[in-house]
Amino acid sequence: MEWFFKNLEFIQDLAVTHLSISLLSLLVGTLLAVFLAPALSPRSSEILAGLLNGIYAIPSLALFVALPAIIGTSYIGPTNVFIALTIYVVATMFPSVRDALGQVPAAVLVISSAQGLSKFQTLFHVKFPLAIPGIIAGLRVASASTISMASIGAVVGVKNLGFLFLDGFQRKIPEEIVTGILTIFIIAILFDISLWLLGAIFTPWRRKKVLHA
Amino acid sequence: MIEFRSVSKKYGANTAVDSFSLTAPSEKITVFMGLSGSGKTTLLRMVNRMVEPSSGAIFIDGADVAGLEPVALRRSIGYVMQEVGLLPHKNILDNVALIASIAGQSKIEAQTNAAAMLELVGVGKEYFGRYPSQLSGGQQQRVGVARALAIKPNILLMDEPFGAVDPIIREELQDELIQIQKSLGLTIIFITHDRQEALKLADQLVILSERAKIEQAGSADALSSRPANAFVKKLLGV
Repeated sequence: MEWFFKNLEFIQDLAVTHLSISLLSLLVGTLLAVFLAPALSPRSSEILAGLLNGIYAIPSLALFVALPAIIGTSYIGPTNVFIALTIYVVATMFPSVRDALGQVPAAVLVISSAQGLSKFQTLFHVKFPLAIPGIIAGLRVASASTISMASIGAVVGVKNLGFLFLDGFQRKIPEEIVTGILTIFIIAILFDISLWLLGAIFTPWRRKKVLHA
Repeated sequence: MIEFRSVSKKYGANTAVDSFSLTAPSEKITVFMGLSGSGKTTLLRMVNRMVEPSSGAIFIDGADVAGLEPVALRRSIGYVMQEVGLLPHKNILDNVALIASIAGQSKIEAQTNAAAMLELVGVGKEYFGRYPSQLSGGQQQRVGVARALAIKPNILLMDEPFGAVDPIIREELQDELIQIQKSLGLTIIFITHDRQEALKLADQLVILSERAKIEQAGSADALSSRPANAFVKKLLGV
């Protein structure tokens, strides 16, 4: 505990870096998935999902190190960590969004078409609102894994909460390691609760009991 | 008036509708009755261009629907089906008001009109704020009818609308439909499997066999007193 309070300011700085890189990746990755999922044909969507799954299988550290060689960024620094994390978010979110959009009851789609809703109007008024629960479920998984994976960025020089593991391990300070784990854990839990709340707020119809008058 | 002129629909090697010709007169209820797979739904969906005929043409009040813009056409025709298809995430009032507000009406105007339509079909104000899952099947279908009427159509296409509703409510809904049809002067094409429903509603009853072949068409009285063949006899139970 003593170590924690002595280094509070330092931990705060690390947490801010950790949070910003995780949030930014989640945001950009989710937006990409949300735009890609309805835009692609079933065939190209299948190909992309396979491709993303393949990328997801690459260990994050390998991707952090390999990315600069591919896109020409510096080996050290937040840009390639951000890009790698964003790719992982897209890999999780793309299938989630696509499947969530496909969950709309067939009758609802038939009647939407019969009433003269355009494709875009169906997407906007029908498919996306009904996909919210599925998208939020995917986002909860993506957020937990992104926040945890971001710590590996510390290895390539992004000073975030992952630094506490590295430093604590090298200098043999157990309190530092425990602090790192707990802080990341708490942030991930807070994210998860916020997303759950967000989902509940945006889907009021799911809270209503099914009661027949 | 809806005229089918030698309309055919092929799906690959399968023929769903084979050279179907019929006129559904204005301000009358035309009932299609037949076994499953006789092409009834296909016929219905060709009227509002959800399905395009392989050959032949459909005319509404003399205008070939093939020349009409599908979105505008569909927004001028009410569509009701057995599964209702209410939007689970919108309350009853918004479900009924949606199309009018998308089509450009102000939200207040659309909701006022939606409220009037809901009351016309017997859905009280206390239901307006509820979600579809909070309504019984019969109430949901009332909302489905109100939604179809909210665009002020002259034509209503109804695909077994009361098929999933219990018999007592079903009769109520039929009675209400007849009243609404008369007071608004609607032209309706109505699909059913139920012979009582067919005989009760039909101004013109059309008995269809496979590939939408017309076995007999005429008034309900004419068909039940003088069935043209064994198929009609069997289907109508006379």
